[in-house]
Amino acid sequence: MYVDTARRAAPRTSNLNLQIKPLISPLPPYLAFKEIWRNKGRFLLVSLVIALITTLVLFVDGLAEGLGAGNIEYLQKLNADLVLFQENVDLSVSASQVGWSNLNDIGRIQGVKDVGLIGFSNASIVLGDGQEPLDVSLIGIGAGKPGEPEAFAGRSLKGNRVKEAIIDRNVFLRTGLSVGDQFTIKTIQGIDEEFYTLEIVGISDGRQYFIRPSIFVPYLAWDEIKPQAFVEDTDRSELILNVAAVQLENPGNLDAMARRIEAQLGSVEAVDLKTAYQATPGYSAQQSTLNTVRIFTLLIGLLVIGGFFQIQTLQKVAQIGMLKAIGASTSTIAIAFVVQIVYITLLGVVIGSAGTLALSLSFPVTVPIRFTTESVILAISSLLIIGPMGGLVSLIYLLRIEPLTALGLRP
Amino acid sequence: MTAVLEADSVTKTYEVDSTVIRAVDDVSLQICPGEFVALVGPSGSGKTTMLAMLAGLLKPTQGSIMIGGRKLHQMSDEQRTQFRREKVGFTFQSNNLVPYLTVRENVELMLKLNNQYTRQSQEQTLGLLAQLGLGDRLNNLPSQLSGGQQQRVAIARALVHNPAIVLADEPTASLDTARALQVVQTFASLIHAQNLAGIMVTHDLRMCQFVDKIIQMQDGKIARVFDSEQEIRAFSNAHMLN
Ligand SMILES: Nc1ncnc2c1ncn2[C@@H]1O[C@H](COP(=O)(O)OP(=O)(O)OP(=O)(O)O)[C@@H](O)[C@H]1O
Ligand SMILES: [Mg+2]
Repeated sequence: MYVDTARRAAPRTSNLNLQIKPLISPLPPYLAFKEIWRNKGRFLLVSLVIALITTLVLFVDGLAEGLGAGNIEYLQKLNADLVLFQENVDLSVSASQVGWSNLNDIGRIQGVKDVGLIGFSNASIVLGDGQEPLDVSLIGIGAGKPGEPEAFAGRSLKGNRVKEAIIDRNVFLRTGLSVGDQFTIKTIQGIDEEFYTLEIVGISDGRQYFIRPSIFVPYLAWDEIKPQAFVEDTDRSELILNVAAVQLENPGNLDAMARRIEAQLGSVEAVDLKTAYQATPGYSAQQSTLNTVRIFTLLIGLLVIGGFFQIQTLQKVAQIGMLKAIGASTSTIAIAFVVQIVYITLLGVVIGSAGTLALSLSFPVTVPIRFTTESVILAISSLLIIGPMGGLVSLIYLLRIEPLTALGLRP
Repeated sequence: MTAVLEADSVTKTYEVDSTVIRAVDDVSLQICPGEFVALVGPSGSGKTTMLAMLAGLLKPTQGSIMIGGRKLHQMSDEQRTQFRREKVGFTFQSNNLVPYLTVRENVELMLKLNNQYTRQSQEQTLGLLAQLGLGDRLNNLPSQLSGGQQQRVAIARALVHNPAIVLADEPTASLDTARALQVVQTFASLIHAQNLAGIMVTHDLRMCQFVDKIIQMQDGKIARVFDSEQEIRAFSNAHMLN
């Protein structure tokens, strides 16, 4: 009799499975949002923690960008393919010396399109009305040569003997000086303060260097203005600057050209831009420190989210067992959980990003925080990933709860 | 009448420290539609274990269970879940309800699980809740209800999707006698009205006056079965006195 019934029952078994289900069941999101809605306070709290973590990550990122830019922006944006340093100075810009006489030798090397020398120094811009002088990087360049930044307002330098300057955007923002203005530069020569007057002919985009805004002057003016430890009384035979910026005819050929230049010139080291700015003192250490801070912040976020959802899950064991017993499938419960965690994380990240944006709008230009689309997208996506990652342990735990627990039994 | 539920020589053993515990020992039973059965017996006699096997939540060590013509042990886990969702109504001793859903939402959850959430079934839900005396509690959360009210919500949820069998584990454990009797009476009348097969585990023998059959268990075995009206009345009256 049993066998007989079983055989008759067989088709019915498969009929059950044929019942058409909607592709995306509305039930998991329904459960997820009902639970959030009826426990608003608790879930909002976690969202706010995520929002704070988001703010922290974005600011650390912005700081890394901003401080990094303050340090190396000029080199990063340099319109050149290779930078030539003096040999054996560990790519130190201030220790490196490249003389005027090298300029023609470099220019003659096959494959070199153009070359310009660059000298780095510092000075102060004297401002009227009892304002503090503004410390700037004083960068000497060749007019129309690699190293001269493009002026988005005004024009470029007319020649190498003129008393003209291009200022970068930061000088413009912090002094209010503009194209056509005359301004005074103060440097120390020996033990005396010296003053020079220059005319602003152009404004470039942000080109900070050594955490200072920059002004660009022709080589000869630079050599005259730049501070010196003692006043030289003998005329030097040659103008000495710090590095050379080289444009190549074929920038794809970077390594081979670097080797060729080094071989033909001797006593120089040719590197690409990235190597050059990463060798800037403090830059790499600073960036890796901030990177560590960022990673730890993300890790803390991971643990906070993971911890919250795990505690929540532990409190819900009986309830989940009951839901499974009355026929909720494991996937219904898993999807509801994932919907919840994604929503809570998303809410937190949105609140945090909006808060960060609002805060950053109120910062003065001197705060070295800068948001680039790339880094913000990276930060936000890593934050969105840590939510679900933090919930992974809880998810596995949820999946394993036996419906039998609803009856108070163990398997 | 053909039985909707048949257990054939069902045994469940546990091995703890190399001693074998026979939680359920060679139990056979049959329940027909419209029949409300009480499973009674002392603590540890195997009532809940038997119920778990009848629900397809626990695999018997031996024997087979057939519900509505289908053998539970031949189904996959997924099929068993689907089977519970469609054919079984449950009430549990505790943690019956989803804490963040209202009375109405808790009952309708069963409809949503089965894709039966229609205007008609919603009206049925309201009717059922009114019958159970919860018409004015529809939008309360479980935490705002008494234990008896929560049990009645669970009963509504167990019945709303027209299951074939209803399994209730100690539905009156947390209630005082008067309320317990009232809950079981309503439960019995609804089971009879819908022509379902109902099994109630209880160790409160006074609740047995509303059932059609009493199965008394002892040490995992069926000790006695009372199935005539006189026997049942005599049995429950005897216990009413204490
Ligand atoms: N997972 C398990 N491991 C070992 N023994 C178990 C397990 N589950 C149940 N048992 C044993 O099986 C027997 C029957 O338990 P069960 O819970 O079914 O009894 P019960 O009749 O429901 O008791 P009560 O009235 O106290 O709820 C008990 O002796 C119990 O200790
Ligand atoms: Mg029990």
